Amino acid sequence: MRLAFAEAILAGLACGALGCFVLVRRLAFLGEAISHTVVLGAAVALVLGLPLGLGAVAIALATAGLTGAIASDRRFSPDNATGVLLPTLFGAGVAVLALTTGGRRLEELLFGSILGVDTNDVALAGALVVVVVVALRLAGKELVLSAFDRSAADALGYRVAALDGLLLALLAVTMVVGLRAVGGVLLAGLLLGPPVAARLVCRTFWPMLALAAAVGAAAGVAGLYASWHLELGAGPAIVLVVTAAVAIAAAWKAVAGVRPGRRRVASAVTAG
Amino acid sequence: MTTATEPMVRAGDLSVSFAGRPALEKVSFELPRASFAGVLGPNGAGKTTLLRALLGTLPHSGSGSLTGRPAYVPQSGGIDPSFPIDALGVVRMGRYPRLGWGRWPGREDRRRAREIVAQVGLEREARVPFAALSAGQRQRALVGRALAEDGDILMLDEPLTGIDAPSQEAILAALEVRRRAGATILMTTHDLAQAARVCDRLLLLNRTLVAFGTTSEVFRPDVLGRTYGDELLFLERAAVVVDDAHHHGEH
Amino acid sequence: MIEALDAPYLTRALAAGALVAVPLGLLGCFVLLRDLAFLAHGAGVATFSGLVVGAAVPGLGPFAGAMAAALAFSGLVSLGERDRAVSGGAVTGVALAGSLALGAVLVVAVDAGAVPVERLLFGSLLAVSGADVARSALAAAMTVTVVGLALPRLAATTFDREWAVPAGAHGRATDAALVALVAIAVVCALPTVGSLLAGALLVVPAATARLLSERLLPMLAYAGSLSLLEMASGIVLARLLDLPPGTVVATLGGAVFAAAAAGRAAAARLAPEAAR
Repeated sequence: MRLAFAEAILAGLACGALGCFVLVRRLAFLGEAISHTVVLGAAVALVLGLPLGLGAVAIALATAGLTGAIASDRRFSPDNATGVLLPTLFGAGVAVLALTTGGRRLEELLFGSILGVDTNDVALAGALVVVVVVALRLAGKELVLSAFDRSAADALGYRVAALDGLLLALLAVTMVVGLRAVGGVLLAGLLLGPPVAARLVCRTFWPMLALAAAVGAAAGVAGLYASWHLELGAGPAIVLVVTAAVAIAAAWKAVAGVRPGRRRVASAVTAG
Repeated sequence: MTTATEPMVRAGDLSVSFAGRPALEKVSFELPRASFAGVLGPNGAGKTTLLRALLGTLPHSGSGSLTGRPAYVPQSGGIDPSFPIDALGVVRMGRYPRLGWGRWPGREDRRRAREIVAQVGLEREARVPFAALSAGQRQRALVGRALAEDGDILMLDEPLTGIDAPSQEAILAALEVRRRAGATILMTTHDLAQAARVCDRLLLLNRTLVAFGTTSEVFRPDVLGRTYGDELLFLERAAVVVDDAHHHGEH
Repeated sequence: MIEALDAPYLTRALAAGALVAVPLGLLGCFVLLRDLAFLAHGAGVATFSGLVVGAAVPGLGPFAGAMAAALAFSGLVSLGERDRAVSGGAVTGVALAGSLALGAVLVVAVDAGAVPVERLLFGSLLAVSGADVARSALAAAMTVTVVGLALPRLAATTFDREWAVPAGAHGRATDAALVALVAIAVVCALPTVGSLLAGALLVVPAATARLLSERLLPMLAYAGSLSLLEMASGIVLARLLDLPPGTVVATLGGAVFAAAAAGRAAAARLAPEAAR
């Protein structure tokens, strides 16, 4: 059980932190898609006898690449491209799993299997989180710059394509950890919930990231605890805690929206 | 029925603010029928805001009224250029407001659309997808859409900015034809020389109404100086050029 | 093989599937053009908790539960996405995960054995009732009628909202009508394709249609027909392969899209001047 808690904390930290980039880069749908298409990656890896993590990372990169390829056609937006790839690759993955393994691994891929982690799993998760932390330490401000103002980053000489690739790699790594904890269909909750909650409360990026990571880890612990005592699924319990955190943050923002000394007038910019 | 002298566009102390900051302050003017008014002013002066307030899409205080049916050509930032539609389809869209629920453009609507496509010089591009048109051709299609609405008051927001000269001339020619048929035209622009050439009235805006009157009354260095402040560059013989290096277009 | 296909349950599945495929294909064109794919996918996922609650509460029924969940989800997300700080899909992502988590928790709370989770997630040929067929027919009739009546407004607000609203197109009403129709179609498709793949026939046939046409009316026709064909073939194939129908329909849709894309790319390479 202690191992499960360790895994939950690591997953919460990584997802909360990386999720902030997913939020500001508006990549939520892509993140949701990758967390589903990993089923295909895992299925193919199982058939080929390769490690599941490898299949997951490969399909994450493939999904992102294909999304970019479709969206490069002027007729399709990123939303469109992701909307085409998610059901196709996910449906194919579930079908392949059903045909090859009779659907045995499906539930753990969809909903996570945090209670079944062993020391190797936790060690791997720990290593991956270290990778994420080091990467953010080294390239964090560049990632933020290219997220905020891509053309400025380009003009300053940064290779924005390489930064995108780095972000994607970190996302894939984070998702491998998160999948174990909450599963594919719930991963979007752990990846986006803590950042959304933090964003409602913070006004600048790095405090937001720190808070999101903390919220993610706390939700991991609280959710696991709740699932143990109330006999619920671990993944769903964690995500419900995250959702509650978002609701609380939203309520806080609505109530505390009037800052002292500045009358708040509703914006009249959009109508109809 | 409007008489020949009744003003078509009327504003009385029209004011708009966003989040507590004023964008338009007490603007008052009247435009008679068949006038062609240019709205000039620096960035952020409230030109787009004025049009939107008159159309009723922005909350405002004071009064703004249009006598007759308006047709609007907004700045094209809101368009999804990859939408599956061709130039003729865009112009034909101008017939939609007259159709009620459940009615589709009929034979007369289609004929009118083809006629207007020719008027703006897009006959050869009629079946070309909007996305494949040049900026000038797109703008002609969008002006054509407004013309197809058969409105009494045409309101255009920077319709000639950044497009090729032949397209500008085609659009201005089509507008002049409409004006002679009785339409009233209100056009925002930041091209002073062009406005002086084609407009019979000028509205100089810088959040407040700096000046309003016929072109000859208003198009003078001192008035322009009060409107544009530092953005103005005076050349010899009182020809004026606006330094619009910072021009990004208004919200 | 023919005997395998001759069964009342299969006829019902084909009927319900085919009937709901038409509205899915038509609405999918607007889902595509208005970038609502994520919202539609989320609404599908959100129906899961509604299905669980509806199945458990006597007198409510899974259909009503799913409908309520889909509409509540769409409404909540539309409101939440207005906050620019967290827009861009984050609210949709949190809401769909939250609703799915709720459903998963409720499954345990209600009666773990009685709720056929995999069936709800991916559809089942065996679970389509006569009532489902009737609902799909109603959804098809409603959608065709409303889209037919409101097509000029839908087109105008999708292409250029800034112009369309002052011209009288009632932007918000059109949005709401579209979202409601999408929710209805998604819920009617649940017995056949399940909640996790409900978005497949909304987006993919429309995307394929977009590759085939540069004008809206032909696009609508292509999308409706492709959706119908893919649904019917997918159901038959699913029967033959003994797979959940949602997975086969979704994969088939993607394969058709890929084929169309490859075909267009090949055609463009062979005749570069003619292709646009």
